[in-house]
Amino acid sequence: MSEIIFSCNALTKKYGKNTALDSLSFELGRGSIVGLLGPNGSGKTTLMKIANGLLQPTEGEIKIKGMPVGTGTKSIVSYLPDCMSLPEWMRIRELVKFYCDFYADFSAQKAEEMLGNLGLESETRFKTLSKGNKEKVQLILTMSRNAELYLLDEPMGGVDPATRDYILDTIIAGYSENSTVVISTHLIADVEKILDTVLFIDKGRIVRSDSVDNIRSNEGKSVDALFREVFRC
Amino acid sequence: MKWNFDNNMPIYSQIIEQIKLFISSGDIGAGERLPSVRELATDAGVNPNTMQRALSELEGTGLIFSDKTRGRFVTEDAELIARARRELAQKSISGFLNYMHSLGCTKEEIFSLIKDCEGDDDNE
Amino acid sequence: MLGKLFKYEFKALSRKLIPFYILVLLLALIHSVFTGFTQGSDILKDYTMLALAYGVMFSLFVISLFAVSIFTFIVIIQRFSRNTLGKEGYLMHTLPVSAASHILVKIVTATVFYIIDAAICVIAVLMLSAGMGANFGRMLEAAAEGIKELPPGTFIFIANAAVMMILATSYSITSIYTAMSIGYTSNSHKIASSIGVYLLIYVIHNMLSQALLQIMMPALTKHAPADIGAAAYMKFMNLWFMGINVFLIAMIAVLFAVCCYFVKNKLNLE
Repeated sequence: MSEIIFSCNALTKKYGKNTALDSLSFELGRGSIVGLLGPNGSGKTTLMKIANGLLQPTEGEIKIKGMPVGTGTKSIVSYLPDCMSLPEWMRIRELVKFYCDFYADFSAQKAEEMLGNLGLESETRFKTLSKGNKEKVQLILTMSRNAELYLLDEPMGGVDPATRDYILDTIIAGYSENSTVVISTHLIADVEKILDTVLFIDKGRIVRSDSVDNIRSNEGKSVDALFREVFRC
Repeated sequence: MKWNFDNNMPIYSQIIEQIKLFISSGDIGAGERLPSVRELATDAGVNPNTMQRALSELEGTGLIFSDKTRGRFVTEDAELIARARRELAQKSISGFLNYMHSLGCTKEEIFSLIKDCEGDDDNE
Repeated sequence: MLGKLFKYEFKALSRKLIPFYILVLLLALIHSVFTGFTQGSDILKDYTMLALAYGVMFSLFVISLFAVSIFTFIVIIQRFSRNTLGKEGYLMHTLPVSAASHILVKIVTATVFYIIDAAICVIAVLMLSAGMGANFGRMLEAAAEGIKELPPGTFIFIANAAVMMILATSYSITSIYTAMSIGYTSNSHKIASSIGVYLLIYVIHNMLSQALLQIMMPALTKHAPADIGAAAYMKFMNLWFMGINVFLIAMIAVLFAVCCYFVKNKLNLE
């Protein structure tokens, strides 16, 4: 099994005069939890969308497990988008069945267990759930896949601290040496401890790439504190 | 187990300290089997790789050892545990003494302040 | 995977459309029973309230036939807008399924529902006729007699006509989907742009049809039936319709390719 699961080569995305991603190049190995940290508009979501085939780059490419983005990569990448993407009319058990139907690596048992732990009934319609519960359901479905790459776009945006802890615990529990999780967020203090590596992204460029512990030993401060320094307004 | 993390120090070294604390205080008994890396990581809220690194370093000190099939265990060596406990206490004391000296306290003042505190504790 | 896409597409559309269709049939049933009941008696002349109720019922029935077609149209467009080009697109386009599969499934299911919609309207009207005392038995007998008299090639003609109607429906749906997939690349004027592109497609289609007709005209007049017999006429019409069908298939294929291109490369999910 190859060590590099994700590679980005001179990736550029321009919207007219606006450059969202500026010749981005980096590689990610298996078995790590990576933080993609940057302020709003830095290009995090654009990068994730390109990795999922929802946007085409202007130049450059992304390769996942050596393959260009396509149906091959989509079957090994589990994506949690920034917004609510699940059909509101479906019941929870129908959503589980949906994932089962399309993803060979989906574990209905795992999903049902996690949903049960949260007291979410399978007959409930998605639209009747609270925002926090909707986020949890989306996350549970995403993490119940046995994917090789997880791309989570702002998984903790807009939820209370207890839910954030639950999300982080779910991510740690889902960890395997075979797979890599990329979390894009600007809520760094919460997420810092579960990360191996962090990538600071600003205006479509990687401005810093290091492990959390290295940053703490070298800078003598947390990644959160360093972030505030680097991205001071 | 109650984990306490400081924001500014590397996480793996804090994990090592914390586990030493748990062993020294008896939270995890001598010879006891440790939970799996994943369980410990989830409990502490840290990255499993970081936890793995910390545990490997601890194995180096002898405080924990790993049995290939049965997992990781705390040492039965009471002497080793006592020494670790002493080290942690000394580190804390030296930090305390530095602070007291920066306040300008003399050795006698320090002792009498401690006695007063103990006295208050007894009364409570 | 295609089968599963079909399953979910049917599910999503039927849960909105089937209740409406059942309602229409119920209205037709009520109305035809009512009609049958009041037929042949003077009860309506005696009770103006009843006559009024009957009038209202009839109006509702007619409105419901129009409404059901409009409703089908709206539901189909809404589905494409939300599921392929909207928020649900984040879920759908990250499935390990090609954009072409998504669009093909949508075109086929939409066509099927349009056919069901037409069938519902026909059934409703038949139910109404039954209420008015139409004798289907006698009508079928007369039809069976008539069929014997029909010129050869009539059944092919009917088949061709049926295929043409289905293709025309699919073509209409495909051009709407293509217009939307292009129009939605705009950030702020999605609907206006889609309508604009649709009109453009319509104009181009018309121009092409006219052009083809001009080209085909001399050839057609050359091969026009020498005798004015029904059989030759039928043969001519069959060729004509088959030509139209081929043209429609070609147009659908072109639009399908354009739609796939835009959905794959120019997707603009908010």
